[in-house]
Amino acid sequence: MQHGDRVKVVKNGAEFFGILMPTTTDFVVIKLDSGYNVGFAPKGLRMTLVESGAPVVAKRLPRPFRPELPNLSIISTGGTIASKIDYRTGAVTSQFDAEDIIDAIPSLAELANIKGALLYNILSENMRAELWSELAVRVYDEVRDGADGVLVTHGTDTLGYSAAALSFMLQVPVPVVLVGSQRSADRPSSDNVVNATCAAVVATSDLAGVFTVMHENESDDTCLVHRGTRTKKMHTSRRDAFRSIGASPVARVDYQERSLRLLADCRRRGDCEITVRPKIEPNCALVKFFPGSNPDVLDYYVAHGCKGLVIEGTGLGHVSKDWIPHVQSATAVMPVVMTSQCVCGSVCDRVYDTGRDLLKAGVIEGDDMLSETALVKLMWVLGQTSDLDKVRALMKNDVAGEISTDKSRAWTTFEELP
Amino acid sequence: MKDHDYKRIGLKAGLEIHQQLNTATKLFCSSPAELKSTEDATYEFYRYLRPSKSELGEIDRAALEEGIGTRRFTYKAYSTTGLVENDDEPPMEINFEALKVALQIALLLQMHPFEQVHTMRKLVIDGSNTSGFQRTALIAVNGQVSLNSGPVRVDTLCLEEEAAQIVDKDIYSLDRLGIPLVEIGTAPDVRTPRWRRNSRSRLGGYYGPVVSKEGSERSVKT
Repeated sequence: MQHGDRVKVVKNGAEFFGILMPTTTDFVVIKLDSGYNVGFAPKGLRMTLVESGAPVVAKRLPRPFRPELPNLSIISTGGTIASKIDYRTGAVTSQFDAEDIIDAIPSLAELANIKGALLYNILSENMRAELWSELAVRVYDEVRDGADGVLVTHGTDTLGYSAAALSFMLQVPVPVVLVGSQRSADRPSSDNVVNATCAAVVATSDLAGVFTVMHENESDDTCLVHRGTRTKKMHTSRRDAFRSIGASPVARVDYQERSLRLLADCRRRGDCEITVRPKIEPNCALVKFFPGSNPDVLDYYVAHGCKGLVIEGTGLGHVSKDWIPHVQSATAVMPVVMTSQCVCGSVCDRVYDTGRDLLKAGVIEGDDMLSETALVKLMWVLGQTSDLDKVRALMKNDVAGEISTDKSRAWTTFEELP
Repeated sequence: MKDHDYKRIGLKAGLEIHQQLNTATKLFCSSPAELKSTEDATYEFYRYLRPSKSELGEIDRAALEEGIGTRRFTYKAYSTTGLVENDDEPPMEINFEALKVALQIALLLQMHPFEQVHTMRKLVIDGSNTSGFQRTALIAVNGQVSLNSGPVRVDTLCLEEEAAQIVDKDIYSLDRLGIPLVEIGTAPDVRTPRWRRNSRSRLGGYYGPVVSKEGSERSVKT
C-alpha cells in the first residue's frame, strides 16, 4: 500500500476508513473521512486496501500572452513562497512552471507576463557560493533574453547572502528582486502573496539593481525594498524580519495600490548594459570572536588552505590581545577583513591599542559592511583577483552600496521611516 | 409537544458541545488564557486571508465563498498577546494540561483515545483565526453516556483552539484566540427535547472541576 491509498484499519475491534498518510514514525497514520489524522501503533493492527489513490493530473492550457504587460521571469530556488507539497506522497512537487506560480499567487498575472523556471529545489541553508554564481548567470540569461525584470524566490534564511552575491556579480539595467515568505505558502495567512505581489511591482518598475522585498511590519499593507547588500534577517519568524542595515530602505510598496514610493536614491532602468562577473572563491570563512575564544581557530583556517577570512569582532572591531599573533600569521597568507558584531555602525581600528595592533597586523577594516556581506564580497573579490593589494582596494571600495560613503549616518534599522 | 409526539414524528438529534478549558495558558503558546476588554488593546494590525489547499490538495468551497483575499481584517492585540496568536511564530508544543483534561473527559465518557494524536488544520478564513485555520486534534472516539431516558453514543472528542472574538465586522480581538476548547459530538440518539437537556447537563457535568469558562451547545444535528 502507498501513501494516498484509501485503506481500512482495524484495531481493537474498531474499524476506521481513511487515506494513508506519510509519517516520520513507525505508526500508521490515516486521514479519516472527517478530515482528522490519527495514528495507530502497528502491533495488533490490520490494514487492507480499499482503493488505490493514484493522483489525477489535470492538464492546463497556457495563459495568453498580453503584449501591454511587461515580461517578468521568476526563478525559483526552492523557498516556501510558491512551493507545493503533495500530501499524498509527502514530496515537494518537481513541476514548477509559470502556471504553478500563478496558481499560488494569482495577482502576478495582472502585473506581468510570467515566465517561470525552477533552478533549485533546496532549503536556503543549502545554498552555496557556487550556486550563487549559477543563479547570477541565470539572471543574466533571462535579462539577455528580454526579461523586463527578474524575481528570484528564495528561502528566507540565507536570502541576504544570495542578494549580496547577486549585487556584486551583476551589473543590471533592470530590477532583480529576491523575495521569500516567513509563513509557509500552504496557509491562508502566508505572507507569500503580499511579498511576491509587491516584489513584482518593484520588478516591473523603473528601478534598476538587486533588491529584496519583504513585509514592512506585522500588517499586510506595505512591503519595504532593501538594497541587496544591506539586507539582514533580524527575526527568526516574524514576517517583518528583514531590515536594511546601515542604509535607508530604497522604497516602500503599497500592496493594495500596487504603487511604489522611493525612500532613497536609486539607479534607474536602462542606465547600464548588463554584465555578469560570476567567478567566486568559496574557500573563505567568517569567524566570530567572543571573550576568551581560542585563537587557534585562525591557525586551523590557515592550515586548511582558506583563501580569505572575515572576523566578526567586538565593538569597533576588536579581538583579544592573544589573537594578534594568530591574525598576523593569517594576514601573511590571505586577506583578513574585520567587521563588527554590533551589526550597526562602522569598524574603526584606529582608536584603541588592540585596533592599532590589528591594523599593524594587516587587517582590512570592513567599514560598515554587514559581516555576511563582507564575507560574500571577499569571496567575489577573490574570484576577480588574487593580488592582495587589489583585494584590499576592492574591499575598501563601495561596489554595490555595501559601504556607506556618509559615515555619520545614524543607525537606520530602527528609525521611523517617512 | 409531549415526548410521545416527538417519538411519533421520529425526532433524531445529535449534539455538538463546545467547552473552554480553564487552563493557565493557551493551547499552543504560553500566553495566559484570559479574556480581556477590547479597551485594553495595546496595538492592532491588518491582514488578508486567502483560501489555500488542504492537505489533500482541495480548496474548501466555504472558504472560497468567504472572499478571496479581499477582506482586510483588523486584529486587536494586548500586552499579553504573543507571536503565535499573531501568526508570526510557529506554535509551541500542545498544552499538556489541556490534553490531560481532554483525556480525562474522554475516559469518563467511556471513549477510546487514539494511540497517536495529530493536530490538524481546519481551514477557517472568516478572519476568526489569524492563521486562516483552526488547530484541532481528534483525541478519542466511540464512547457512551447512559441517561434515564436512554443511552447516547458519544462519537468524537476533539481538543482545539478557540477562535478570536468578533468585535465588529471584520474586527477581531485576540484575547480569546487559542484558549483550549473541547468539542464533543454525539450520535443522533436523542429522541426528545428533555433527552437533549439531560444529555447536555450530563455531558457538561463531566467537565466537573476543570471548567469555568464559556460553554455552549453550538449546534444540534438532526
